[in-house]
Amino acid sequence: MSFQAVKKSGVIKFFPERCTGCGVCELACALYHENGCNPALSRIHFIKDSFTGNHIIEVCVQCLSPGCYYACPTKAVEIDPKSGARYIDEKKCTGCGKCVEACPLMPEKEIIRFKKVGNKRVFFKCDLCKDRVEGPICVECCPASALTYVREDERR
Amino acid sequence: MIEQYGYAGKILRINLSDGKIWMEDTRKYADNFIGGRGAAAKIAWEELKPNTDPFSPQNKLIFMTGPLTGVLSPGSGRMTIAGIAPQVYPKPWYTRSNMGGRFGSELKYSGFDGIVVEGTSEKPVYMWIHSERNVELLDADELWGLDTFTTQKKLTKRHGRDTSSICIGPAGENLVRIATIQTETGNAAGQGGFGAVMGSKKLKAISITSTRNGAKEIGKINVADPKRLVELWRRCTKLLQGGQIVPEIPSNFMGAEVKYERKYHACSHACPGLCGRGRDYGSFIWKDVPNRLYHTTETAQMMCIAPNFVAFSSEKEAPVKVEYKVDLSEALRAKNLSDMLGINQWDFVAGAVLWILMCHNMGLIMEKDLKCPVDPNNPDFWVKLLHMVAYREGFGDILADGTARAAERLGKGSEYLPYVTCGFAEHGAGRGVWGFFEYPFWIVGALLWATDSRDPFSDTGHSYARLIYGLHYVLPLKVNQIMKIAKELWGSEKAVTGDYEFKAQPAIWLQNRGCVTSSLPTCDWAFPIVASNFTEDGSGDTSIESELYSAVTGVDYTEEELDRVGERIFNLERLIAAREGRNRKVDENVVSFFSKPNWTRRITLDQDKFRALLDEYYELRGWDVKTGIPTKSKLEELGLPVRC
Repeated sequence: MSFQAVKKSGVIKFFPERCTGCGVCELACALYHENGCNPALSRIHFIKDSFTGNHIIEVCVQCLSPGCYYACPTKAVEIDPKSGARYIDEKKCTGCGKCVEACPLMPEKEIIRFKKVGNKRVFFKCDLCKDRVEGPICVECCPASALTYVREDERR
Repeated sequence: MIEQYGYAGKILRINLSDGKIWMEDTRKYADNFIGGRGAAAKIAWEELKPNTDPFSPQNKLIFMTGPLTGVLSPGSGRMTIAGIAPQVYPKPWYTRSNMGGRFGSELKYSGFDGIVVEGTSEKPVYMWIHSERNVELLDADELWGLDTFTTQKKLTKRHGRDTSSICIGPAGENLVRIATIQTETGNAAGQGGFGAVMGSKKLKAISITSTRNGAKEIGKINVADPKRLVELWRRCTKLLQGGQIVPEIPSNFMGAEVKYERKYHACSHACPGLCGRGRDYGSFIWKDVPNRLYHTTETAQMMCIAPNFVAFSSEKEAPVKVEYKVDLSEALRAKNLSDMLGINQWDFVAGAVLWILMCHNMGLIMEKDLKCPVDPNNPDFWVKLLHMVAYREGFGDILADGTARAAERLGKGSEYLPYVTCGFAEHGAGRGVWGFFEYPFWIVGALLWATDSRDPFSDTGHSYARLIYGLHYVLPLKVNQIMKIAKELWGSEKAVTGDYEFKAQPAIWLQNRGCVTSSLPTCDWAFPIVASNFTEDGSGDTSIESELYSAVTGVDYTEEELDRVGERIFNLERLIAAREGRNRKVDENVVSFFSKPNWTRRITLDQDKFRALLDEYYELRGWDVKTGIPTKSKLEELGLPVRC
């Protein structure tokens, strides 16, 4: 099996020293993608540690060579031609979980999660808000500039 | 099922005496009362009998969130806690407190809009809510006696990293009447002493592990108009801090050079406003403070009253001069300790300590009474005193019942009590830690104090002070800007100038808005946005709450309609108070405090003018001028039960 190189992607970068721990990134993400708020439906995972201030953000790093993309048997993981985002097409996803197994960051970090659409179980992950003109909503809503969006051509 | 917006749908009910757990529909209480403070008042009106002992099984501890909790709305982690409050002096009555943090949001994500706790457990327990409305009462023997930080850390270790807890410290366990309910590092429901109510119920903590499982059926808070909500979020961020910023941290704190790292800390879930930016206070995580309990980090949020652990100097006309300055890192330790023990900082610093220092300077309370040197410049004094109160040791046992009770028990020092009325320490009254609050602003303060059931300035009056002085996120405006805003909001510039004229209007507006603020809920430090440094004329935008409510719930409310709901809630609370014996005579208890000279220009309350102002207030409220109780026609107009 040969691995065909795919388009490079932009990525969301986190500056932990700026993060105030407000958790808005999660709320904005779930609100934009799911029309409601709950961290379980967010594509960016925020873990607050009030006792040290070392808050953690877990979000897809949009691998240069995306394991999830190669692993998906139904080609539900796609590459956005504009941003390069590796995203999951809910319609094609059968919920087999091969992408989760292939992800180099999981299961330690929660990058790909599942939800229910009707009776079907589907996986979802960060798609860099590919259809949003303004770019990723978490980056735009963060009040302290702790998240920035790095375009694929600026990415090193 | 009709899709509901903004609510989780259920309220959790639990009786600790028999361990019975049941659920109720949120609509039963939230309809017409929004949620939060409003829904809590509805529950109290229906279920809390007057003259209930706060420490009896009959007292109910009500935790209520609102439609804006847990969504993309500024400060959305907030939650109201209500019940019969042991701090109230001389006779405990119903009041409310509220807290930030993340717990309120997590409560909704677990499928509940609120919790009502009644009964009393025989042995220490804690409540664990997990995976879609599963509730368990678990043994808390291992946690009893622990401080609030360790308790939370243990619970997080036990139940996983997505666990959020509220708990009490030793102060609550020992039924200290100024005990708080704490969450995270510096978030506390301090007013009323509800920590002691939890202690009396032997309920050490409530933990929530809301599953991060996208396939779960409940706990998603639906939003009617997501696009509008994002737009409103942007507008709020703009008004509060000028839009998205890279936070810059001031290099000194309370005049002291800071040798260790700080980073900003959002004290409530989804807070966009970095309070105290460019000022002497702010919500920070302090890093690499030497020799601290948690090694490299001092977790203190130094804001609000907390900087008074560092330094204080009373105004020139104070009856007794009080002045102190403590080493910054040591002051941080004391502040942290009060959070760990679960002691209300406002009442401790602005009440107990200030009173002890004034009495000490006048020779009324001596070292032999306290059994420790009275030296506020020495951090050991603070640490010792906090321990004494939390564990009810020696003199601390007297202070633990609230300073108003302490003065009564000692039989001296009552003339120096910085207590306005009903056992709550001075705030916005021009005599005490808010001694800087000038005449005639404290006239509005006096009205708020007269007609509220607790310290009104921490959930009602902030915006008035914010407009006049520039507080929190607002830096001082120009005088003509302030007058213009006052005229637009309250009908006349006299609301912020002159004497007794036009003081009832702002008081009523603030109270109605206070009800709205803690029912939605939003943060009182931010809302209503009466002023902003990021608009040309300094004006804020007071319509944002109604827009947030409409965007989330899909029920379109104008600003006026929402104010009307606020009025309904305030009147219902007044009915509860009236049932507990509240009337005009009780309201006038504030007169004696305000008849003492204020701390800036020695101005005293003109009693006749104030009584006339009270008449005006009652008339504008639609209350009986003689009794101070809402009239039948007013109650009918608001759709409230008409009293027999």
